[in-house]
Amino acid sequence: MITNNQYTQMAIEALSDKLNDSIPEIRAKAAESLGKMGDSVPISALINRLLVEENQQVRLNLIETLGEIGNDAAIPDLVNYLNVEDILIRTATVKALGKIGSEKAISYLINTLSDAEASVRVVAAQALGQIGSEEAIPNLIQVFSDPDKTVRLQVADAIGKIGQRYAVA
Amino acid sequence: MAINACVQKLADSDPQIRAEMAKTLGKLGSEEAISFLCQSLDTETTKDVIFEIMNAFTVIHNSGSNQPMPENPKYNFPNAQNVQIVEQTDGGDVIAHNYASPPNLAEAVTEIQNSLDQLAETKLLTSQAIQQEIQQNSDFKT
Repeated sequence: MITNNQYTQMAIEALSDKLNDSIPEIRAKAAESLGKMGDSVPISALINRLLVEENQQVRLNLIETLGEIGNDAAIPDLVNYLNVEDILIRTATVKALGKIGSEKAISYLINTLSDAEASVRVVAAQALGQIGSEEAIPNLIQVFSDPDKTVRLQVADAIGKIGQRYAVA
Repeated sequence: MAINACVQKLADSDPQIRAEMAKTLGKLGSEEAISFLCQSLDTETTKDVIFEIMNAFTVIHNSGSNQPMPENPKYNFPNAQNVQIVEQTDGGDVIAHNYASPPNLAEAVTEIQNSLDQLAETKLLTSQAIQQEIQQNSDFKT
């Protein structure tokens, strides 16, 4: 693990400032770059920007970076984006929650298993498999009757992953 | 030093050169460049240069030179009578050393001096290559 020194801190601050640049491409790049600066990046600047951001690409990058950082303090704000109209944003949010990997997101992801969009249900099952808590199994089993084949396959895979985790532990 | 040359060129009037220098500073992987890159980012208005500065931050952060030295030395041979180290480098070269115990101090000093000379030469070459690149870029501009 790379320790967070004064220079890293400096770069993180400079990038966080650029989250509020007037040019969307620069905001998007700043958000993306922060995702590569390690898990000690403070999430407040990212969340504050996400709350007011209207550009789709910037929002996607902010959400993805919150997943990369993996701080579960982002979950209460992230879950709001599971209910937006934009499918890409919903997908990115589900993936970020899976990456954070905290059990705090399980109930929200279980709700997302009944999302109107099959591609979102697929990533929700994937994310639940990633988090790997047996708490999700009864709900995953219900989704075996999903009309979409990819969803059913992903659900089987997720249950397998959770089972494997408990078998090893 | 290569870093100083790049830092100076970060203020060049040609955005292409500024972008290239930010990229080079990233590749050099020195954390000290970060404060200079931050200063440039504050005033920079060309998008591509801004992108390269941001890239440089992530490249420097993730470059191996920032990793702390391991607690345990790579080689540790207490009271060895005779030790041979053969290392395969990226270039495929093999460096072999023979160490006898007790170590000969004069020999060690010569060896360190040789390594330093070799390092200095490599750095000089890098710096020359960068200077040449800068020269070519400024020729191209006029």
